[in-house]
Amino acid sequence: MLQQPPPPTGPRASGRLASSRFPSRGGIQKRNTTPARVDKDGDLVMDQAGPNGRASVRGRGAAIRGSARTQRNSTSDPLGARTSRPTRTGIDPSAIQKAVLRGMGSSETAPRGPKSSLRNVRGRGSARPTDEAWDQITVKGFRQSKAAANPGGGISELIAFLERKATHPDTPETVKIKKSRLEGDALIISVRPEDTSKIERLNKFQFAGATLDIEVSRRKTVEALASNADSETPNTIEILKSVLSRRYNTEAKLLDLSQLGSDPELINIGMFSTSSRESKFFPALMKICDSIFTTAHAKEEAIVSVSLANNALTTIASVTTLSQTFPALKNLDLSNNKLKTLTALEGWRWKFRKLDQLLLTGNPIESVVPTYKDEIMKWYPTLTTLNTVRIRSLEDARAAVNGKLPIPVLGPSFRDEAAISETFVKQFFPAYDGDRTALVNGYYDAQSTFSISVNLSAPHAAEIKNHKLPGWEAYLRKSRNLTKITHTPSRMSRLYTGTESIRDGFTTLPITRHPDIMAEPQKWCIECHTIPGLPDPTGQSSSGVGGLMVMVHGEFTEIDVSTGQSTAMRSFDRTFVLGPGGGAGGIRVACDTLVLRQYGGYDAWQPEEENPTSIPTAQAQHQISVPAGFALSGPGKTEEQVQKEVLAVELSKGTGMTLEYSGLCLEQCGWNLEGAAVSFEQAKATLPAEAFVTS
Amino acid sequence: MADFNTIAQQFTEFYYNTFDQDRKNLAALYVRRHLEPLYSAAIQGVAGIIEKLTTLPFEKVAHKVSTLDAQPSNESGGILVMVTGALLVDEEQRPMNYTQVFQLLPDGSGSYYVFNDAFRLIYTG
Repeated sequence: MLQQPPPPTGPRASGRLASSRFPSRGGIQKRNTTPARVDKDGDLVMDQAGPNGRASVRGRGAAIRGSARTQRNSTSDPLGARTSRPTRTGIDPSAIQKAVLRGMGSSETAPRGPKSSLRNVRGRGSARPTDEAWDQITVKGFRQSKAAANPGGGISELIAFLERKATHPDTPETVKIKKSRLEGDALIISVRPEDTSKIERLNKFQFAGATLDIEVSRRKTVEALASNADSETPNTIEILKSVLSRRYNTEAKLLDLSQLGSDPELINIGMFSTSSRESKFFPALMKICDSIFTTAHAKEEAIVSVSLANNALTTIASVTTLSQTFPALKNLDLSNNKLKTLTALEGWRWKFRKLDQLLLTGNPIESVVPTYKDEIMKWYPTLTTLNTVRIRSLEDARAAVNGKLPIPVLGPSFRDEAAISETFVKQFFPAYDGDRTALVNGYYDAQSTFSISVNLSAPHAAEIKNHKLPGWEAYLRKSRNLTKITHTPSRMSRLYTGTESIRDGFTTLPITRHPDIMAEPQKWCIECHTIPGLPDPTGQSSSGVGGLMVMVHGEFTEIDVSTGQSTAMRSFDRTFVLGPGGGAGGIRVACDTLVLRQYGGYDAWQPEEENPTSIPTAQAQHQISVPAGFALSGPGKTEEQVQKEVLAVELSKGTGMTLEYSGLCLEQCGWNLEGAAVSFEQAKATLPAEAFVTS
Repeated sequence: MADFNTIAQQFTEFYYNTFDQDRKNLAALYVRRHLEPLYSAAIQGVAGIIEKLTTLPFEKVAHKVSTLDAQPSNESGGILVMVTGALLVDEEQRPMNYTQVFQLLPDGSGSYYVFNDAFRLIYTG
């Protein structure tokens, strides 16, 4: 909830500097101030100029009138222009203004005028405090649940279920269903608008064996504001637009939403007269912002900074829509609010993916959570300046922007056994390019399976944009994409099983040339994991033997046999399951699944460089000689024992310790591999030489 | 008994629906101890996997599966599932393309659990 702000300060009040620590009671409240005057046309006339000396933005039909023209001269001395301006936020304004300066481009990038598509509805001074404040949601499907047989048809259980599931365990705000009523097979519930998305998220959730269908049937935002309207005052939406235009600084690209609770224009229309109206205010304001700009880019260009200072916010819940409307915001001022915990800010965690500067000064969080800065740094990888203090180098921030992958890219995880998969991959692809018949005879047997599918929706790399993309004619009849091929006989006919069938499959695919793994390793990403339970060719182990799952990502060119010219370039993802067998090197291919897609380059698997220590790579692994049968299932061996042995092998590879010492170390750490690795790091200097494998 | 194709398809649908709605609930799929890496960091055990999944730095996520292929992978009914697709996180407009390979093993009571889960981004634009 927006809370009552401190008493009015700043130019719109009287030009005084802000002093922000006045006690207040709830709600952005009307302050005792001279009401805005209404001219003879009913238009609001603001008697205080905006920060750039703009004045008299008219309520109805007014475009946002920037100061670009009148202030053009100031761009030659922008700082000077600013220092002559009264302080409005009660904090050192130079910080955000400097930030804004950096973001300044053309001062002519003014937002477009209001669109006429918004409904023209008259606003009114006060709102009815009724359930119109709530969103309505229709819940269906619970009649099929086991709870439907309960007394009361399971309705109370359903409501309790929805409230419980919708409430995030880490936040104090519990989701409450305000009202409910039955309509046939549907339960209509009313919730606070801020809880709507939390309930909506439960769509398709299982409730006592039944799948729930959840749909929002009435949402309260601008329409809700409008529905409360009558003819007493000018159109609410026009007033909100006027508020926006008055608070927008074209030159600075700053939308100043500070001290909203003391905005006479807003008070005048009773915007904060009830909590329900108040809760709709900000989302409505954001909707209007969205409607003003035709593209996200235009919005991003026009509004670089937003100030929400001096709004007595205890949480960002009431203003959370800011992050949806301005996801690319660079500078955000939240100073002099009542934000006390990180939880109060959590709704904006990972939002604002381009945030550069953040002001949180003058909030209780500074003393309540002394470590909040560390957390904020993690939330915003592009943030360079927090509370006017530089916290990250521009280079780091830029790397975060360029990397901007929410999922960290790590180096390949390669857990090979005795270089089996390494050898296999090095032999396989040249043979696949050179002599597929020999390859099939060498590695595949009667039980081996191969299938291919084509990913038609994967994007292609930018560098081939201007070339004609190769078609998929040669592959589509073989493509075994189970999301497309649903008929069982078709599915089975596209699964090549046994040497003959696989050979036929291979030899009817276009001739390829893969890059040399040794010469161009960057074009490959190869990962390898161990898997259990493969058939034992010797028949000795009934529970099967260990194998390897090898995942290869890379590229190839297709070759026209008659000319020897390359005709197409593609990317592929191929997964093999390897097991012991009669093929080359004593192994066989049990499974071979190949996915093809347009050439997408190889940037995706280049690991991020900043944290190389977290990358488990093959080079870091120690060669460990493992006794026969160790870490594999066998007669009389419990699964637990096998798992422990596998863990010991893993730890030994990572640390160079002997299997015995690894076992001891793991035992002390409750067989937690990561814990054991940590305690090894702590103790390694004190370990005797015999703890290590001699290399 | 459903064939491996159907199981793979049902599993994939269930997995991504659960992932996109509330990834904490994926714990049920990783019922046994795990030794295999997820997201290329050695994550082990159900708790470790769920911890990793829930601390991935995004809130909203939506997967879209482009291709799904499956093969029987061992004698005791294991299934190799290979998925390629795209995912969108939070407000990000640009999808990330990924492959994800699952090794499903029967748990002895007619259900399956995830033994290996290897995820990799394959195109990031």
